[in-house]
Order: sequence, then C-alpha cells, then structure tokens
Amino acid sequence: LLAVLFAPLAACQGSSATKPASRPEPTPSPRVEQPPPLDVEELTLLLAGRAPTDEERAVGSKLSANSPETIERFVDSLLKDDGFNKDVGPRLIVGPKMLGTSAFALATNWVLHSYKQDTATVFYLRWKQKCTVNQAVKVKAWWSPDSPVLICPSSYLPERFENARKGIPKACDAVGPVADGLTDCGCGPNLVRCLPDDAMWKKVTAALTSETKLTLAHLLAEDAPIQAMFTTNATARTRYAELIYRRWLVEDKKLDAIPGLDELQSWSVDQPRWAERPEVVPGQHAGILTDPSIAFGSNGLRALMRLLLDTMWCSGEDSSHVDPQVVLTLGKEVRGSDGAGPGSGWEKLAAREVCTNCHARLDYSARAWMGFPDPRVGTHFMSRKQLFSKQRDASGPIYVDNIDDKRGEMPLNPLGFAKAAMAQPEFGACMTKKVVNHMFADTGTEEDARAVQAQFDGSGRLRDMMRVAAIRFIQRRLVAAPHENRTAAAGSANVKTLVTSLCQDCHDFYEKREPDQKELQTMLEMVYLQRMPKKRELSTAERNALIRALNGQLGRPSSKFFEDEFRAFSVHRPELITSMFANSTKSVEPADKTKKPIKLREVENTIDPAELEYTPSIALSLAVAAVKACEKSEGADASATKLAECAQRVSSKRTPIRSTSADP
Amino acid sequence: MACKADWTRRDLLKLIGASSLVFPLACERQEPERAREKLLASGGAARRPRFVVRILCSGGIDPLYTTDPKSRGDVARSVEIPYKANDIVESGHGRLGPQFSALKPYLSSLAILNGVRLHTANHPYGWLAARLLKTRAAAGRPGVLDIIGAHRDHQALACMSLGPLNANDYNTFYFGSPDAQSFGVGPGGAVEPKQKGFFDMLDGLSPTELEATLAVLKNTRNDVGTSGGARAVNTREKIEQAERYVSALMKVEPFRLQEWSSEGEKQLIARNLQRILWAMENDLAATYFMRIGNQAEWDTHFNNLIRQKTWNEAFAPMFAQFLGELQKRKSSSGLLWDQVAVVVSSEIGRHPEINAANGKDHFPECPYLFAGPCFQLGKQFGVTGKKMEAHGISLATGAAQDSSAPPDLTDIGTTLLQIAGLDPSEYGYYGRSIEFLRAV
Repeated sequence: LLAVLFAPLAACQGSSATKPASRPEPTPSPRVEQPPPLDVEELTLLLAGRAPTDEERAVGSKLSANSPETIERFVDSLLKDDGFNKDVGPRLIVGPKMLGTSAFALATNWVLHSYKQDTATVFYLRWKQKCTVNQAVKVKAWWSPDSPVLICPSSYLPERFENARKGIPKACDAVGPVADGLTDCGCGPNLVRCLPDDAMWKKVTAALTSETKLTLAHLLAEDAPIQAMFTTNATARTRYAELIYRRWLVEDKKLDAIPGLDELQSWSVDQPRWAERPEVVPGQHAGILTDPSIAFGSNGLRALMRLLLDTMWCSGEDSSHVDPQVVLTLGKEVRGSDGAGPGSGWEKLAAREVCTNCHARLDYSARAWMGFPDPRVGTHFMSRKQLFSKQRDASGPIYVDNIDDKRGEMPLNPLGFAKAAMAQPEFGACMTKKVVNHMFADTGTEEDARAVQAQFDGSGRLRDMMRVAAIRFIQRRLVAAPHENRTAAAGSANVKTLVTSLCQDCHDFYEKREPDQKELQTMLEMVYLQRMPKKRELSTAERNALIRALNGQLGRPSSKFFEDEFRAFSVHRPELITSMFANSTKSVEPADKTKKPIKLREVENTIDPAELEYTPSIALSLAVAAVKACEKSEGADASATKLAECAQRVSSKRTPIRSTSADP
Repeated sequence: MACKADWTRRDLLKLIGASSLVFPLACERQEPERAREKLLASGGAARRPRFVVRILCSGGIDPLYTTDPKSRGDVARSVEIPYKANDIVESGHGRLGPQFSALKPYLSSLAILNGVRLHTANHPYGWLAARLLKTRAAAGRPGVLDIIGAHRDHQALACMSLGPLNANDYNTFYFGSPDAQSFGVGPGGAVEPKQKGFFDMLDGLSPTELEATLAVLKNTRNDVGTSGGARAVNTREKIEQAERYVSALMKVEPFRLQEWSSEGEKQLIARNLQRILWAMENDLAATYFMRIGNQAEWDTHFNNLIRQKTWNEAFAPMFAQFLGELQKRKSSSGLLWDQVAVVVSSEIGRHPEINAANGKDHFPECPYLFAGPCFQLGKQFGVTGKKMEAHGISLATGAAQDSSAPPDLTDIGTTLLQIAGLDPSEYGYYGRSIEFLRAV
C-alpha cells in the first residue's frame, strides 16, 4: 500500500491537497544552525553577479541588524545593478538550460563547404557533389544581398521545401535527415537554410541565444512582472535572430525569397532592437518560450513540454513506475511518436494509470504547441500543424498532476498555454523556490518561502522577491544567536510525529497501521532523494532530522550516507568566479591572439544552486583559471611560485564557497 | 598477455594465476558483510575491482540487432527481423546480432544480460537512474560509481566523467566536462575528434603551470580549514582529489591519442575510451563514467534500422578494441583486465515494434553487457519473449523461472556494490543480488 501511496505522481490525485493553493503551516522540526557571518563578496555575487566595489565592501562591512533601513538601501542598490538585469535575473527565472545554445535550432550540417577557383568562391553542401565555376549558379544569398554568391545547383534547390525521400514527410530544415544523409534538400531561397562558414554559424547561434537573455534583461530593467517574460510578443533581438523568424516564414509559406531581405540589413548585428514578432497564427508567440533557441531547444514536443513545465512549475524528472507489459499493449498511435507529437491515441496514454502522472500534463499541454514540431521534422513554426489555425476557437484542458487534476481550459496556442500555466499555484511556488534556492542554497526555510511568495503574490516582480530574500539573508547573518532553534533536537525526533505532520498533505500513514520495514526503507530512500515530501520544502537540517528518525526506526546504526555523507560545501556559480579571475589581472604584454584561452563547457553551470557543491572538477578548474589569469600579469616566464602567489591574491576573496552551508 | 580473440581454458587459468598474485581474491564471491569485514581487514584494497567503467550508449540500443538476436519463429509477427538467420554471429559463448558482430571475438570476455527492467521509458529520468544504477533516482546524488570511488585505494580521483555530459551526470564527486554535442552530424561529418575539452586543457598545462596549480590547490585546501563539520572535511577531500590528479600529471606520460578509426564518430568514441585506459594505467581514477551520444544517437524514433546500424557499428568495434587493450595494458598494480569491471548499457530500451516513421519508440527494458574477471564471462543471460519482453529468471542460476521477476537496474547496482565488497543497504540499494552474474 505504501509503495502505491509513494508512487510519485499518483500521490494526492483527486484530493483537495493536489493544489498547493496556500503554503502549508510550518511544521515543528529541529533546526540548530549557527549562522555564518555576512560575506559581502557572496552577497554581491548573488544579487549583482559581480565582485563588490571598495565602497560596497565598506558599506557592507558596517551593516547592522539594528539598522534595517541601511540593509534595505544596500540591497536596493545591488538590485539596481545591470548585473541583476542581465545576468542574475535571467539565469534565476529560466535557468541556464534555457539560456544555453540550442543543439537543434541551427544544425551545423548546413554550414557550406567552399573552394576557390581564380577569384571565384563556389559553395556546396558537404553531402552534395562539387561543381565547376561554370556549373555554379549565382544567388542573392542572405549574408551577401548586394553581391551574389556562386553555389552548385544541387546544393541550391530553391523550390524544394520537403525531403522527398521515404518515411514521414519532413521539412527541409529538419535536423535528422541530414545526419542520416537522407535528404534531397538544398539551401533554399536566398540560401536561407545555409551558412557560409563556421564563423557565421557561431554568430547566428549567438544571436539566437542572446535574444532570450536580452529580452529578459529588458523586461527586468523595466521592472515588469515575471509573467511578462512568458507572454510578451516583442523581443530584444539583433539581425541574425530576426533572420531566423523570417526563415520560418519562408519555410512555412514556401516563399521564393526572404521577406524584406534588404530591410533586414538595417538591423544591427550587435545592438538589439525591441520589436514585435510577426504571427502567422494568433497566439503563436509566448514570450521567450517561442524564441527559436527555446522552442527548438529540445528533441521533440514532449521534451519541450518537459522543459517548459519544469521551468514554470519546477515539475522535475520523475518516471519510475513504467511497466513493460503496459507499454507493449500501447498501439503505435498511443505511443504517439509518429513525428507529429502526440498522435491520435495520446488521450489514452494521458489517462492510463501511471502514464498519466506525466503524460496528462505533457500531452495536453503539447496540443497548444503543435506548430513547433520535433526538430527532426522541422525547425520552423508550422502554421498548418497548429491546431488553432484549423479551429480558431479551439481550446483544451490543462492538467497538472494527472488526468484527475484538470485545472481549466486554455486556447490551444503557445500564448494560451503560457497564461494557463502561470495561472496555476505551481507557477508562483516554483518562482519562489528558485529565489529561495538562489539566496539560501540548501538552507532555505518555509518561512523564507512564505516571505518571498508573498511578494510574488503581490507585485509579481522578481526584484521584490529578491529584495525580501536578500534582507532575510543578511539579517540571518547579522544576528549572533542561532537562527530558528525550533523544537526538539534531531536525535529525539519522533518518526511518527514527523512523518504524520510532513506527509499528511498526501498520505495517511499511521492512520490504519504502523509502516513495516520495507515501507520505512522506501520512505528513507525517497526522503533522501528529495522526492518526498512533495508538497513541502525542507532545509537540509530538517531533511536530515527526518532521515535520522526514519533510520533510527529501521534500527540502523548510522544514517551518514542518507545525511549526505559525501557532501562538500555549497558553491555559487564557479563560471562567474573564473571569469572574474580573468578580468582581475591586467596584461603586461599585448594579448597573443594565437593563444586563445580554451572556453570550457561546464556542467556545473546548469545545476540548481541548492545542489551545486565544491567538486574536484570545480577545485581544479578554479585553480587553473587563477593561474592562467596570473600569466597575463606576471608574464609568460613567471615562476611557479610567482604564479601561485598571484593566483592566491586573485582568488583569495573570490572563492565560490557559500557561507550558508556550515554544518550544524 | 597479448590480446586474444578467443581465450583457451589454459589462457584463462594462466590469467587467473597471474592475477591472483596481485589480487588474490579479486573475483571471490562473498557475502556482503563478510566481504566488507575482509575488505577492512585487508586495508581495503585487495579484494575488489580497482576500476569500474560505466559506458552509457545514450538513447537506447536495440537488442534485436545486437545482444539478443532472434529468428523469425522466435518473435511475434509484429516484430520485424531485418536480417537472415545466418547473419547472426555465434560462438560457444553466445550469439550477437549483425550490428554487434565486431564483438564476436570478445564474447568469451563478456557477460550479457538481456531484458533488464528499468521501470522508466523516459530519457532524462533514465539518465539519472543509469548513472546511479538504481531505479529510484534523483539529480545530484552519488551512485554506485561514486560510492565505490569513495572507497578507492590510491587512485587520485573517485570518478572521472567523459563524453557529452549533462546535468544528470553531476554530483559531488564530479570531475570532467562535456564533449561537444554531436547531434545532427553523422559519421564522416563535421565532427572534430581533436576538439579541446577539460582533459585536453589539463594535458596542455606546462610543468610550471602544474606546479603553480598544485600550490593554489594546497592553499585553497588550507583556507577551507576544518570548521564547518563534515562538509568542510569533504570539501578538503575533494580538493585533495584535484591535487592528486595534478601531482600525477606532473609524473605520468602524457596522454597521446591514437587513431583507432579514420571515421569521425568512431574516433570520438575511441578518444574517450583511450583516455580511460590511460587514466587506469596511471591510477588517475577508480571509476569512470563515459556517455556516448547526448541522446539522439540511439534514440531512433525515426529510421530505426539505419540509425541503430550507424551507432552500433560505430560503438562495437571501438569497444572491442578497448577490451583488447584492457587485456594488454598494465598499471603499477598489474594487468588492467585483472582489475576492472566494465558495465555497458543504455538508459532506456527500444520498443520491439516499428512505428509509423520506421523508428522504434521507448521501452522500459534494455540489455546490459559486463566485462572483467569479477563477472561470469562467456555467458548470455536473460530470457526474452515473443515481443522481446523480459521473462523471470532465477537470480542464482540465470535459468528461466517465472516466479522470479527479471533483474532490474537496482539489482545490478546492488550486485556491483557487493562485488566491490560494500554493503548495498548502507547506501540505499535494496535490490537483489544477481548471483549468476558473479564469477565463481
């Protein structure tokens, strides 16, 4: 019975507890943390994404709990910083994944190869035949509208918009067919699908990525409510991002030229313009969610829905009860991977036991996004696929936990989805959680969450939420006494009391009988994995108290592993620290452009702040970054001792270790 | 010992004799508690694999073409068999589908377990579970590799991570950086195997830079201090891992990439396999997590046959070469083969039936391959039915037994911890011991 009750998303179904309409009352739980002192360096990193100035250091060091106005002023000044709008805020709201480069929006396969003959450059696609200069055709390419380029005819094919080979129909800009060498397509009108070289691929990709960041920064600077980020039609973008929207139109309408190609040249390649986006279908655009790098940032509609819902509801990954016999009974129309998103049988899947826990919200939400196909089918908005274009007033339900948890109706387009998703209490709870995790890492409390959520419920502005969190953060550091020393010590906590109070939102443990050993094991595992309790946010200390109590009940001598035996200190954005190292030293000699530093892709950048720790990888990356930064100022011939001394200076006040994570 | 295609009994006896000099009980089957006691009594080093290599072929290897080939009569009509019976490769140690034919010479060095239950059919969750080797999983938690790595003997790192990694591969022991994504580029495409990453950057550090880096790490460790309880201690330990890695880099022969293949994707796979071999030779890490593909490679919802063929036939020969190298190369503690446990799988499986796009959708079961002397090698286990679904087997013998549920991911994680001499329940692994998998 308990296993069923613990089945992640089946929990609470149909009960009034499903909807977190209000935050549960605080539960008595042990907490004996001694607050570390206030670290101004950490505070400015958290609020402004940069190191403090000397003045800020001076002011910050004098902050006193007895002078709340000074604290508020200090926080306000940091939150007015550009770094909050451009870096901290965007990252906090949508997470690094949405701000990253899409692997699908602009496939590298479409970077042209070329050769030179005399003074002429002839372009061709790598999977097509080369041709001679005489065979090549002149085309007004999007990157060179004033001076036509030469391209081999088989790489051009302006009339072709769909892959003519076997299988389901795919648009020419689909990602998959190219990988398989199965496409007959060429670059299309104005060579809209192609890029002249790797450098241009990088520029266009960067423009797509920066569109999201610039749009969020613009809205944060305007102090717009968080909701505006998911509903705005206009975005801040540069020429190459605008190009991609026009490319969508070419592909969707099968146009023979890019609309307004000459006018496109008036767009700056580096100065963004705040501009509306054209809609082929009303409601096509939903803030940053329909930016090309996001809408085509996942490999499939369900994956996209998972990303969007995780961003807006913090729904997380959870799929651990799938039965092979059930999967075998699903017909292909139910499995729904026919290339067009959820197929005709998707409703059966969304209603099926266990499957419903994910597919009800994913597949019903996906109906609003049919115009944004799997990138393996196409990488442009397809108006004909958007259900709304056929049924103008069509609406559909939105679900959260499962098929029994319908929350209302939404117009079946991205904007309708965004508005409906934001109307759910999960949205506010998720935004609150992000702010609390950002400020407090893994030591946020329910009281912190309440205070932050109150701001969300009021103005809905991120700055206000951050302000409250930051003030609480500072006050906690400034008071000498241990914070919130509540109730009993961990060791004496009673498992029945804790389980009953923490799990009562969804479960009825102890009402009929005591849980057996296996059920207690399951509880222990799920609490350790932070998959339970589902409707409560526990601090590390509170979670460990529950773990200790469960472990004690199980008669085990130690619960060290479950209490994060291997955990190191929490850290804050190591990539930010490494760039600070690099910027903190001045070069003694002109930069050698042949020796570009390697820019590493870091997994750490994508981790929730509550989970990010000081790993061996971070330790080494930071040490090397400090040494590399010092090579600039100390000279290439500097001794190891000199470099180490410099690195120590550079890094001494910029460790990413968070002051929030001291053990009780 | 030279790399051999099919080992004779004599060879194996020689190998066992040789390995027992160094690791007398490397593969001894032990009860967990007893094993742990012995392990502690022996100083912890001698009675378990010193290296564990976990390879994740991301997306879902189709067993029908690889580890569990079938004839027409073996499967339901709805299951397509796109090869002839004589395309199946066989030896006295098992059968392989045509797309894994490159592994035929190594069947005697492999244990194959078909039909492992995963309880998920979703990539992101599957990645978490596959990383932890546990069906109940969550991001950021240490798994089998990390737990075994934490109990390592004198290797620098607990766990080294390679490939196109993502957030699901991260936890407190993380050491690595993701390769460039390769989606959208097929073999012969624009993939640049020499693309620089974290390990290349470290390889490129000069002796002066290494020395300075080491000094910075030492200073940082001292700065962390000891106040802050267990988390301070753990932080110092994490920094120490980095220090030991840098110290080792100052002494070891630099990594030199060999060309195992002229084809881009194969060489990308080879590059990370060679990195693992080099790291094991130099005792740089106890465990290794290697992801192949960021998802799309084996995620064959479209054109299943051709895409599976592409990636299976890229992986199998490179993995075969890796197995051969394990049987040739040594660390200071002896032949790598004697010290290693290798585990290969995907995070989810492929549905047995073709969909409307000539692809195959997700399925919550997939095959596992094991290599290393701790496993009962040269055997193929698991019973699958007319629709490739797993049937019950005895966990003692591997024989069909309807009353026993097929092995699942947690059972594999539990068994690996036992093989490593650890008590699985201490780490939340409450699965069953797969006895037949363990060498006798």
